[in-house]
Amino acid sequence: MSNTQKKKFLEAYDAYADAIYRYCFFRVFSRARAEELVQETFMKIWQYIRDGKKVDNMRAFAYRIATNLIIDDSRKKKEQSLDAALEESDALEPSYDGRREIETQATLKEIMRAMEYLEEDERRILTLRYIEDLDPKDIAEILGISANSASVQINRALGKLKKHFKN
Amino acid sequence: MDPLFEKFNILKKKIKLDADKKALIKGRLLQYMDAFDFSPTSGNRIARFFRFAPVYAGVLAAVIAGGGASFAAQLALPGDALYPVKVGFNEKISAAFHFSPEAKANYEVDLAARRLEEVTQLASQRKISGEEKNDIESRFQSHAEKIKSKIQEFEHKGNIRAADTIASRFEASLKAHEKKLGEINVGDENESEVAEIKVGVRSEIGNIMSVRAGLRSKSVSSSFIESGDREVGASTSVKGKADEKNKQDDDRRDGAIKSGDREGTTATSTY
Repeated sequence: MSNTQKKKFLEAYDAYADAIYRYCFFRVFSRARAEELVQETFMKIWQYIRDGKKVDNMRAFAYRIATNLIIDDSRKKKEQSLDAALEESDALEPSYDGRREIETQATLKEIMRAMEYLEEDERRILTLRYIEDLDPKDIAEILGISANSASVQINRALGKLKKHFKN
Repeated sequence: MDPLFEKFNILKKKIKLDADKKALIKGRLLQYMDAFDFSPTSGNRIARFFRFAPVYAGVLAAVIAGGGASFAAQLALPGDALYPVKVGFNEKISAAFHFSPEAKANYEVDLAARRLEEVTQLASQRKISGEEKNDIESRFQSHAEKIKSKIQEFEHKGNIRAADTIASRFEASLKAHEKKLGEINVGDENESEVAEIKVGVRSEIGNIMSVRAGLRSKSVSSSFIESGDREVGASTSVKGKADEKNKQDDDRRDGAIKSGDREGTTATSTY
């Protein structure tokens, strides 16, 4: 484990931890779980580097690891409606510094409600595209699909979301 | 803009990873990395920490909350990976474990001293960048401001004794560190940075001395007012108190300066 490797890894953490947190939050709707996922994601990344494997696109790699961890998560948990998840989670509590972001919480609830009508993979791709602002090429790399396929899926999922959002 | 995208934009901006949590996770990652990497330097620092630093409730609480990395972070200097864990997490948690106003004020004095201690150590190790110097200064300043406002709070509540106790501790600590900063071998690379920090310390010394002068005049006059008739008795008792306090100050200052010469620790800050 050379010092340059360590340095590069820590730089990657500084650069991408916030984005991975946000991405995970929109998948699990829990602050605590999202924080854990950030840690688990970067631990896995470190293991990968330590094993001597090379990473070309660190950003995409981080998203991919996080995505797979979330998939593992959802396999362990039994199927649960987003409404029930809303009830349990800390997503809608006031943030740590005590400020109540009423507008944000209302918005979050709206989006969560609309997302409930979508499948996991549809939610995932919309989060990557519209919350994480990744372009279809990167999304394709993260999900291991073709760029074309990614664009098609994005449009389909967006259409579905818009339909439920209007109501 | 499409209302749906407006909603996405709001959420994008507001859902953020708390800076303290980010630092905490980083600390844990470093610990995780070290578990596989037995480098001699990390071991030595932790051993030194065991030998010199007294453990007290605040640090213990921080460590319980934050784990091994938060423990190791206590020795971090500005620029170290664990430094954010030290100032962003450990110190904040410790602060919560100081309950009385006096304890909180004393803790701020310790923290201000700790910032100066860090500069002293850092200056003898490597070049301090202009930006780093500014960060250090602003942290130091924010502790100094807190100390001054706590002194004022005591004053307003009429607790002149407490106000002066804090003020005199701070003065002693500042003077001890000013001396230390003057003694270290900075070399050309850090000459101007250290000089600027010393100027800041000197100016705080000036501030705190005038605060103390103000407090002293207040305490004398209030004692006179209180004991009205027994003016003679009052003046001797005030004098007696002043003498006792001077001796306490001298002891404290001597203690501070003496242990200030001891490498790696400072009487005025507890870890």
